[in-house]
Amino acid sequence: MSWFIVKSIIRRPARNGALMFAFAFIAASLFSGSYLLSGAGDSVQSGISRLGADLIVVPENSTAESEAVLLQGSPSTFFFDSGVVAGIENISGVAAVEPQLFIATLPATCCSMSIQLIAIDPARDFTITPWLADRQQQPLGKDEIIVGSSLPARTGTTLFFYGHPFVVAGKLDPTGTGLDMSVFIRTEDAYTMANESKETAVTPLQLPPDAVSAVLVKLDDPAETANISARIARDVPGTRVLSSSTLVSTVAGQLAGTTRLLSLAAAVATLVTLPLVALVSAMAVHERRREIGVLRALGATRVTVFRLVLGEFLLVAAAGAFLGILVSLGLLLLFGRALALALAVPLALPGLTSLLPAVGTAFGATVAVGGLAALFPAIQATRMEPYEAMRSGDI
Amino acid sequence: MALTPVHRNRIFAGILILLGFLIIATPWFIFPICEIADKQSSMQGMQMGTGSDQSSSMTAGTHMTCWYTAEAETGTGALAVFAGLILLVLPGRDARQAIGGITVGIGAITILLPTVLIGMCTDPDSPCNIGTKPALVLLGLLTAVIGLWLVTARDTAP
Repeated sequence: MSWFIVKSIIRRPARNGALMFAFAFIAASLFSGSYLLSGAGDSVQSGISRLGADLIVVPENSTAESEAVLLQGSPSTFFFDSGVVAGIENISGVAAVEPQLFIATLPATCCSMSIQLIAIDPARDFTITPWLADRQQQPLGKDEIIVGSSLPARTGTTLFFYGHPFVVAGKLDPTGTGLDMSVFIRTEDAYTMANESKETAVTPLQLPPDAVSAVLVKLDDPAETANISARIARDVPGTRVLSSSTLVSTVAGQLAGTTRLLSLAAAVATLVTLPLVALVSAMAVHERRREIGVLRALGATRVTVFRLVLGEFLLVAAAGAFLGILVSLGLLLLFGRALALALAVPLALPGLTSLLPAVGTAFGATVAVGGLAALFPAIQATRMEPYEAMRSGDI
Repeated sequence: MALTPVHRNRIFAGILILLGFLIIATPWFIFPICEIADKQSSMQGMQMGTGSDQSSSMTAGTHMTCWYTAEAETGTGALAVFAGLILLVLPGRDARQAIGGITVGIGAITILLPTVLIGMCTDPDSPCNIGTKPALVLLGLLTAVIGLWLVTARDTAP
């Protein structure tokens, strides 16, 4: 029966091609929205887990800049009172804290990039040091740096920031977040660089003593994230607590317009396709009345006729859905970076646990639309009397 | 009404010519490459974010890497247009299959030029990396698919 259905589809290439295009559009719209949300969400989770922190505490009046650093890699320099570190350490449930210093390199002319320097204290660091240990490497030494995956530098390369030379000791794996365009340096080296910048850089860098831009917090129990966030916000004034869930919400908010548009496109396409497919399938059944009559006369049951008619349109819908998902995935992979920059969100290829449900939902919904539209004509086909059908129809 | 092989050939020749023009136009107009920069190269390491007017590996009067890729793609696009024109003039099966094979190669070169053979700028967020390169890869893929069809399509034409 499958081969019979396939041959029937091939016999009408223009009509079935047009239907496949419509189904492909529906599937592509549905899949693209899910991909963007999953890709952004997974990217944020990956970035936060790369940092090794359960919470990130930033200055209240620099929330937007800190989110931009983490999510998009937009370089920024901001500080708050280093006294907050002690305040956060004293909160029960906090296992470890790591103060970090964010420094933006100077904006440069064409071909140089402005990037984010993140200064860490190797003695308190739980971000980079464990990563180095996993690779059997020593902790960061004097003037050694770790670069993000998107930076065009290999291990052993010398890079200059504010005129001070640093040697690349390693390169992080991609996260799809701003960390990919960041450079981790030692806090001690950051202050040396700042002191020397009066002579070596076009614009000197001024760092207040004991400056802190963000405090990474590791908890005894990650399940207590919400409670401890509230405690920090209450007990340590002037701070804002970021967690993976708050960042994911921020990103989802930024994507809301786009995903709404894609959902609207899918809805409109479905509204147009449903009556179209219903009409086409009714026409197809009418065209094949004699054929159906002959089949019934030869012993085909009503159920067989129902399966033949419905099966044809389900197969067309499935083929269209498959093509639509494949094409949209290809375009999202090719132009993902451009899309991420245009939407100002982090975007990485979603993990299989996120991708497969998105594919399944888009595929299932599209095939369901095709099946629903062809259902009534398929039922009508089963009600034809063989003699009447053979007399009136055309093969 | 079913398409004859001659009509089908003409359609695919037209698509091939269109793809050729798109390959030519993409790096200059559609997804343009980065601005040309005439800077002194840095001999030791890379200067980043110091505010100085320096860039990596460029001497006075040279172009950025993406410029050379764009020039090369102009050549491959012209080849694709040429192949399409030949297909219009010689619709026979043998000529079609030969042109198809060459077209697959043109598609492959279109993909390889910005990715492996010449490449693009080092900044992953530069316009040539986020727009020009993916567009050329897509066009190269489509060109190769057209070439594959030309090689494998069955018909009764001599």
